[in-house]
Parts: sequence; structure tokens; C-alpha cells
Amino acid sequence: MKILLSILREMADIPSDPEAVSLALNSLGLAVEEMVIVGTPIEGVVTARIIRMEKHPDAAKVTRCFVDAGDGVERHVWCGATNMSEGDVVPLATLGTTMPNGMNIARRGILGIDSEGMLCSEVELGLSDESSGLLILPKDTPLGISPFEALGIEHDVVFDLDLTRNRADCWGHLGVARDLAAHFGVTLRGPRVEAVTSGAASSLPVEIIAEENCASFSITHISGVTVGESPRWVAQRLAHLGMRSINNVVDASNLVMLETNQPNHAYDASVVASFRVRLAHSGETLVTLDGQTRQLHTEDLLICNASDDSGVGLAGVMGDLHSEIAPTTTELALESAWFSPDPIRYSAQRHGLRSEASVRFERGTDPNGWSLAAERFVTILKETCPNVVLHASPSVVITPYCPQSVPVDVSASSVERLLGVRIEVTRIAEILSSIGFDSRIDGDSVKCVVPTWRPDCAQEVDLIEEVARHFGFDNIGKTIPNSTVHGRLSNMQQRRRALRRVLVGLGLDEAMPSPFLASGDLSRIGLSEDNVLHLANPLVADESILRTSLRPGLLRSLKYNQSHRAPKIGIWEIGHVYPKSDQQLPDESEQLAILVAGGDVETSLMQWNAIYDALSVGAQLDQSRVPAGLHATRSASLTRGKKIVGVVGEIDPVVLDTLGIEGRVSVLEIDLSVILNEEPKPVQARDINRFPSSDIDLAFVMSDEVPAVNLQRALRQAAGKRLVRIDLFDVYRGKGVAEGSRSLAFRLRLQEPEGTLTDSILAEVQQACVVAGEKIGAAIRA
Amino acid sequence: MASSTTPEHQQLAQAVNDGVSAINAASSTEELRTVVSALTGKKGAISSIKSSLGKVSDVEMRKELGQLVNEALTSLQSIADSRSQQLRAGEFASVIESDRVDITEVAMSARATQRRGRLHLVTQATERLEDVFIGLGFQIAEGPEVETDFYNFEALNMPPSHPARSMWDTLFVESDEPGSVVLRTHTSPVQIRVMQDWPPPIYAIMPGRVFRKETPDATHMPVFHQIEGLVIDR
Repeated sequence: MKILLSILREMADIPSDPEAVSLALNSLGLAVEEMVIVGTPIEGVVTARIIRMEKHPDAAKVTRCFVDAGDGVERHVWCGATNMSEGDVVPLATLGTTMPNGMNIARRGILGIDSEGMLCSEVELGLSDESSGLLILPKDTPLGISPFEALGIEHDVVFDLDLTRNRADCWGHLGVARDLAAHFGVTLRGPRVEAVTSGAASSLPVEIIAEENCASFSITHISGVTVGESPRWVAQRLAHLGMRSINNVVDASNLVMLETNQPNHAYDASVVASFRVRLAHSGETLVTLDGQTRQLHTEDLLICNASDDSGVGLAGVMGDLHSEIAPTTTELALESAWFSPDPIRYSAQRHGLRSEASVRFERGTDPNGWSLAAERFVTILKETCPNVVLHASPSVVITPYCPQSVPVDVSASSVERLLGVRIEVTRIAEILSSIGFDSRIDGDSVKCVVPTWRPDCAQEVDLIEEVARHFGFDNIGKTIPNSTVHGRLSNMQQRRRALRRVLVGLGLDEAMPSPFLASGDLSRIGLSEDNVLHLANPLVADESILRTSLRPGLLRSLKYNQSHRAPKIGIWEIGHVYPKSDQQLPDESEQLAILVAGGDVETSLMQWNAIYDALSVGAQLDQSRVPAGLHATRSASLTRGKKIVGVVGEIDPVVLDTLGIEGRVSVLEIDLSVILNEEPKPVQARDINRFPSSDIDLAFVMSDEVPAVNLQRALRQAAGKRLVRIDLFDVYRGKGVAEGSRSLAFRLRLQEPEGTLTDSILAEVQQACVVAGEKIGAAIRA
Repeated sequence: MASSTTPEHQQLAQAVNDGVSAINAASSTEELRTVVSALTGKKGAISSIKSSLGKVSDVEMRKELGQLVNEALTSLQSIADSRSQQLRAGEFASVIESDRVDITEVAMSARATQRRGRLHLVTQATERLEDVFIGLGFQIAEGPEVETDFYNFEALNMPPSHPARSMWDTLFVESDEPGSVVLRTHTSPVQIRVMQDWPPPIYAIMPGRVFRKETPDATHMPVFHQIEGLVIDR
């Protein structure tokens, strides 16, 4: 929300120092996002008339200008512009002037002839972002004065406020000025309103049919209007506040809204002289001011010309094109109403039309704001229309649905309980009165009436917030609560942090891609889209699906890196996925995915080893269950019985080809909702066994169809409690081994827990291993 | 008894002299080991003197000679030890020299430059913030990112007319009952869940990912992170 210091200072005598005002705004909870100083006059720039111009035979691109700055001294200035003529009044930056861009105007020469200053464009004066030559002022402009003064350019400050939702009143300068006036202890004057001569009574007929939606409606009749340009200050202020100048009538209407937070609309009273407010009929259309034909909904509130029941405005949102003010308009019907916030919001949503008016009605306006708005409107208009007449007896319809002032009591003890500081009841009353709450002290309490411009203040706690703001948050002080619980990470959170350390220790970088996907992102990489949830109102179509896998985001990142000369990166993400469930909420869970471009199945198994070792978790590798989207012969599921807790392997080469990713990509995915929630087994320390150990090497030939782990398991069982470790130390395929089989050589280290291993025991174990191998079709190699 | 010079004395002195020369002449620890074992071994010169002592008839003389033999052995061993240290140092010096690397060159090798991964900036910031609050006696609460209207709005006293509930700011998930499931717009629904599930006293912070229908620009993102806190105690 943009707020101008000039307008605030018209409403109350607050300080002129922008920093002081900014500080006050922040301490009042009206956060200043940005502060821009505009129209600062430049010391040393004066108006000057070009007396004569000459060309120099050796300098074709520049002109010699001789100017008079009103002091009777003829100055010579070289000038590169071409849009000026003799007799023009232009801005002259005299010697010694520092321009807004930091340039210093010094005596400089071309061809040995000095320039005694510089003639300026709007850009050079900081008045515009573009210009096509010198700024030419009206011929009757006095010489030697500041061009800013000559043009009536106000020095001003624009505050961009980041308003909280509750401060509907601060969508007008008046609300901000009220807070500042209270803060600085000065009187709030409000917008300047001239004693406008009331014309003859004239009440244009008004009828409200949809009272619940339109709780109050006023039409003020104004005549003696001449449509034309706005005064410069009006156009300027609107521009600073982000609105375009249209004409004096529309501009006055807009400025009144920005000043008072009362949206209003001026109709040509010769076109619309009687009003009806009703809900739109089914099939009815309206052409709004932006030229669009709107198909109306039966819940849209419509302002109609009562004479023919035709729509003249989508209430609270936008007027219609046909009743727009025309150059010939002389009589106005000024509408100023109070509409219920919700229906206006729904209307604006339905039509994708969020106007300055709808934004204000949505948040809540002051149902009693109409008369000030009308008077201020006429005051502004009077500058361009001296004969303007405000007719007495405006039509005002107030329905029983119109919000009333609410009584709320604030007790000093509640204030103390909530703010932790004792504030005297007199001070509470003083604060609340200063921002327009009618306050009366009653014992320990203040009996208040909430003003109608503060729809957010409905309960005692809301008023206590007001007391806190104006008492000053800095004055409340701060205390850090002395916790009575033990601050710590949960077991799961500690394990998650440990996991992150393992991952960075493996040289892998954390990525955090968007959790939104486009339709097709999942199917393109071989994953199902049957269980996805769609957003009802996505920002863009490409972000309309909630991810069910972390893989698409990381693959996109790999692709992007490969396109930017980082072909081999390893990245991971710990994040949520949101597959559809049969409950109200999705089956949301936390997952880990690691992708390494240039990695292979061994890479991912190394990562899995590191993780299960660090977190003391286990799972079986089940190659018979190839996970979707993975390399069919180089991947496996990580299983716990029937439950799949992850996948390991490589991305399907077809998928990589589709995405244009080069080389292999290793993948490891783990369901952290399972793995992190486990209590790790405590690590046990054991004495080193001092009895001698023996190694036996056994090589088996086994079909490729049987996983090596089956043989390892059989050997483990056969060796029993004497087995200390078992390593697969050689795998051989080729000569001497039948096609479709391979030789697997294991080294078993054996040791008695107590006592010395005898040769006969060793022989026994070896025999048991051979038998165990045979049982699963593995023949001992001779 | 005179400490006279017997033939045994002379033999011993000669054996020690020869031993020292042999030790000093050894040019490697390997050679030294052979020399020493020859000197001090059963067949060594000193041992043979020792075994011939039985023939000395004078008891006192025999005693003295026995002591001298032992001293000679000890001193030879100590000379050998220092020679060994000297030789070892020389031998390792050449091994160490042949091992020489340019450290700066090794520092550029693939293994030495294998870097640690990085945590995302958001994770780094979150962990630091969490640690501050853990130090203040807070615990960390988490909750789902897809929420019901009840937890995201209603339970937080945000009536249906609250502007933040409008389509402009909230991203809704399609559901059987439109508008009932949202991407949480703040971490506050976790407060409700904590109050339902945790017994008081409660000192908790809720960091996490939140969602708003905002067009991305320098100060807005549709997905961003928040942290908030809740204290309930008497």
C-alpha cells in the first residue's frame, strides 16, 4: 500500500522528516517496505530563456545557445539537443550544480570555447525515465526560478507499507494519519474539506433489493461540472500512488478513495438519474470499463439504472463502459456505498477482476464514510470547476444490515495479563480515544465504542493490541521465557540430522526443487500419475500437480546442470511427497532421494551401505521387484518382508534418453517415515578375541539366476557361531566356468569364541559349507 | 689378590676390541645383526672365554673375570645398539628421500580435492535457528504440509470471511469437498496439532515449508519456509 507524506501532512501536523515518520510507522506495526523520495528540487538549476542559437562550423552535432537566466548575464552553453528554438524557456544547470546522477557541472570547453552550464532534459532532472530532448517550459515562465517550482512539482515521500490483514482502515491515508497523529500527539484534521455551498436539495431515487449484500448506499447529486484535465498536483499524487490520471472527475474520485478509503463512483447524472441495487439475473451481461463483456452470476451484485433496470456497474468492483463520464458531462451522481466483504470478494474472484475498489470492500470499509468522501470529492473538483454545486439532501439508504458501532470493554488487568506490563486505566483510555475509540473509564475498565472504520476490532484482545501498538512495543520490554522442559531434538530429528551429515560426507549436495509438477512429468519418467493430487487453483498449469516422488525435480536439476557444463553432480533431497489416499488428507510422507549423474548401481549401493551403517537400519535387496522407472536389470527394491522401504540402482536408460541426460544416473530412494522413526540399537563394544583365527577360501560355481546373497546366507548358516566375517573376494565368468554361471569365491574367517580352533573343526565347517552350497545348486570348484 | 693381567684378561680385552671394530665396520642393520649374534652368541669369542673360566683356580680371580665378561657383553650390546640406531636412521633417510612428494601437487589430486557436499541454505538457516531455540529449552514440532481447512484456518480463529482464506492467497487441493484441503499457508496448524497431542507445559517451535499463491519475484515465492513458536505454561 503506497502512502504519500504530503497527504499525511495535510491531514495532521506530523514531522516532515521522512526517517522520523518511517520509524513511527514501523513501531506502529505499519511496516515500511520501501521509502522513495520524489521530486527533490536541484539546487543550482534555474529557468532560463534561449536568446539566440548559433552553429559552429567545426561542431555539427552541437549547438551554441546563449541564455538569459533572469540576472541580466548572457551565458554561453553548448547543447546537444535539437528540440529547442530561440525564445524557449528551459532548465539551466548553472556552474557548480550537482545533478541527481552525481555529475558536477563544471566549466568545460569544446573547440576552446567554454560552456557555462548545461541545459537539462526531464531525465537529467530525475523527473522521468525517458525524454526526447530538453524540457521546454511554458513561454511565460519567470526566469531564474527553480523549474520544479515553475512546474508545481511537489517534493514528496512515498512509503510502501506492508499492511497486516486486519488494518483495513490503512488502505486510506486517513487511517495511517490517524495512527501517526496519535503517535506524535497532534490533532487529526483529516482531508481538507472546503465549506462547499450546498445547492438546491436534490435526491436522486435509490432502491436496494439485495439488502444483505448492500447494507448502505448513498447518491450525491453534483452539478456545474466541466470535464477536463486535473490540476498537476492531483495527477502527480495519483502517479506516485500508482494510478493513471484520466480526467478531473475520475481523478478526484480515485484520490478520494486513496485518501479516505471510501471507494466511490461518479455516474453521468443525465444518463443515470435513479438507482436500483439488485443481484444479477441469470444470463445477464455487463461491459465493464476495461471493455470486457462479463457474463454475470446470480450472486453478483449489480448497480442498475432504475429507469430501465439495466446494469451500470458491477457493485464494488468496476463500473460499466456506457455510463462512463463523457467530455460533455456536467452533472454527476456520486455513488458511495457499503458492500458486504465476502460477496464482493467472490465477485472479484469469479471475474478475475481485482480492482482498487474491490480490494478495499473485501477488507471492510467504513459504513459512515460516504459524506466525507462526497465533500472531499467536491473540494478537489472545485479547483478545476469553480462553479461546482453540491446539492443538499443526498439519497442515503441505510439497511438493518449496516454494521453498527460495537461496544467493547477493556480491563486494565486483562491488558497486564496479556502484555505483561501494567498500564494505568487512564492511559488505556487516553490511547484508545486518540485513535477514535469512544472511551469511558469505569473502575478498572475502559468502556469503549469501536469506530465503524475499524471492523477488525471485535473483542477485548483486539483493543489490547491497539493499546500495545500505541504504548509502544519497545516500552513493553522483552523477557525470554524460562523453559520448564528439556530442549532437544526428537530421536527422529536427530537421526535426520545425522543422515544429512552422512550425505554431505559422501560429497553430495542438497537440492530443494519445487514440489509442484506439471501433468506428464511423472509418466515421462515411468511413474504412475493415477495417485496424484491436483491443485484446484494453480499459479500456472506447469505447477498443478503435487509430487508423489522426489525424482522428477532432481532429474530436472541434473539435466539443467548437464546443460551448464556440470555433467557429473551428485544431489539429494529430503522432502515430502503427497500421494492421494482414501482419507481427506494425502498419504504424505518424508522421503530421501539421491541421484548421481555418472554414478552406477555400485554408487547407490555404497550410499545405502553408508546410510544403514550410520543409522543402524536394514533392508533386503530384492531384484525380483524392479521399481518403476528404474533400470530393469540393474536395480532392486529395498524390502522389509512385503513392505518396500526404498529403491536402489540406476535410472532407466529410456527415461534418461527421453530427458536428454547423458551417461548413467544412480538412484537411491528411502522412505524416511519408516527409517528415521526407528530407535537405533545401542552400539555394543566387545573385547578382541585373543584366540587364533583361520581363514578358509571357498569358490563355488553357481547359475547367474541365483543371487549371490543366497550363497552367502547359506555359508553363514553352515559356518555357524564360529564365523567372524565373510567376504566375497572374487567373481569370475569365462573360461572354465559354464556359460550362464559364475564362480564366486568367499573368504570365511573362523574363530572359536573360547579356545583354539582345531583342524578337525575347520574341516567340519568346510564340509558343511560345501554341502550347504550344493543344496542351493552351487558346486564347489575343484 | 692382585688385579693382574692374566692371559684371560688379555683375551677378553682383545675380544672386546675386535667386537667394537666389527660393530663399527657393519654397514647395515642387517649386517650388524649378524655381527652382534656372532659376538654374543654361544660360539662367540667372549662366550668361549666365559666357558674357559672354569679352569681358573683362584676363586677371587674367577669371580673378577666373570664380572668382567658380563660387563664386556653389556658394553658391546650398548655399542651395538647405538650403532644400530645410527645405521637405521641412515637407511630410513634414503627411504624417506625416495618417498618425496610435492605436497602442493598432491593437494591438487582427485582424492585430496574430493569435497564435502553442501547443505541447502534453507537447511543451514533452519538448523541454526532450531539450535538457538533448543538452547532456550524448546522442542521442534512438525506437521503435514497438506492440511485441512480446520487446522489451517478454522482452529486458528480465522473466520470464513478472513481475506487470507480467499483464492488469492491460498493454494487449494482438489478434493471431494472443494476448499476443505489446502497447502498450509503458514506453520500455525502445527500449533493446533501440538496442543492436541502434547501434554503441557509446551515450549515448541515449528519450522517448515509453507505455500502461498504468490507470483515469484524478488520478495515473494509460492513455496517458502517459516518458523514460529508456541509456549504454554502456567
